[in-house]
Amino acid sequence: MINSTLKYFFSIFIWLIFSSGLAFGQVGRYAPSALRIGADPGTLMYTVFSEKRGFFELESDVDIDKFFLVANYGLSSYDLNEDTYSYSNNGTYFRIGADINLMNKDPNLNIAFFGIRYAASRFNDKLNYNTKTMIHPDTGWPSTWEESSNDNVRARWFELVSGMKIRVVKQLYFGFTIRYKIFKNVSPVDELRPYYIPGFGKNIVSSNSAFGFNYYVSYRLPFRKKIIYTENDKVIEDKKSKK
Amino acid sequence: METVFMPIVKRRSNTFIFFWLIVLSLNWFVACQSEECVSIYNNYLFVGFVKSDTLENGKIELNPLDTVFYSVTAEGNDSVFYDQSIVTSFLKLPVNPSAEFTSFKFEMIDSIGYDSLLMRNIYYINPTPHTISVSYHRGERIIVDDCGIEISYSKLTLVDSTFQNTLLLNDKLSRLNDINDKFNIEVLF
Repeated sequence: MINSTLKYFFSIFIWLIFSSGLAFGQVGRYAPSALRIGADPGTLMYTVFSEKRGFFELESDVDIDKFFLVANYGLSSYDLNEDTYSYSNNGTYFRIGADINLMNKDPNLNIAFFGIRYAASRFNDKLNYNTKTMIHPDTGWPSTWEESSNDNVRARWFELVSGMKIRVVKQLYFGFTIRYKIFKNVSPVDELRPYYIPGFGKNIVSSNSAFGFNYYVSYRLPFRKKIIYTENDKVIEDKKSKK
Repeated sequence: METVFMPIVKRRSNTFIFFWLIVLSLNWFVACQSEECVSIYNNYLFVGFVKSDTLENGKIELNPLDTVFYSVTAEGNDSVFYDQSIVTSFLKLPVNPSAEFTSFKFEMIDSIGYDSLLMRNIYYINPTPHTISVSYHRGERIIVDDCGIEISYSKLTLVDSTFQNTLLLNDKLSRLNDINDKFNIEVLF
């Protein structure tokens, strides 16, 4: 499902380039002007400081006037090791969506945005637990270690996002995204309720939503000079793009 | 860079702030719904013993039947959950948390005599004990990291019973059954 969605997203991207007239030398207002590719450096912090969580996330977006088509792809792991149980979770996730740039008239191409995402993940998880803590001592049942697992669990949700991307030097951007994740839906499982959903976070019973945060370091690859349309329809060209 | 950046932020700031006020308000609402280390599930099967009484107007009423068992045990467990010292009309029997099937054995007392030498009751046990076997579905979840695991028992099925009239009334094992006096299984004498 993830591969087919990425192919679909890539096809839209190619279609946008050609349909916008770029291939014929005509540059329309909504012709994509750049592709930005980045990664979340937070993965390094989690690798060093967190025994529980690990992830690696890539982000890319296509710049279309004041809009961005955005896609994320991530790898995730989550491990808990307690005295009476251990839990492991491994999976992948993606997000696709669009942002609107509130600073679309900034000639330096800084970005303050909000947008929406559709997100989905697929993962496996496994729980080993001792029944000791769940048995009343008077009942006489022996404590045993039990195992329960899920394969190929699917989850999907939507996100409201907002953030900034600041052009630090040339085409290099530093930025962050705050996510409000809503309408979580997890495919039915037999025994083990997944405790963690890659890309979403903890799957606790009392809430169908969660907050998230990502840092991004990204690099902008311009296809052409970006044309910035001001309110008076004056046109400013991005001076820093070489094309 | 800042001379251009700041005025644009100001012009757009109302929308931006409005958006985050909504999102943070939602977060406050969600944060209030924190997870507590409480589970409503347990592994107790509630078995009620009832008898039918015919009222004067012809209606049939089910009433609790106080019963004495020589012993109530479970297959694979050495404990005696109930013995002859307890007179009750309902039993609280722990199912095996490591399996999805438990069989309980009920040794019934046919008659009681008195040994005057030993100065104690003598119980004459029915040579054919009754059994009730149930299967159930276990579901596991981590409540939160520090709380540990919760096992829920549901989809209870009455696999076998040697009692003549046995009914499955409630297919979930829960602390609420204890509070609300709800039987999982009812045995009608």
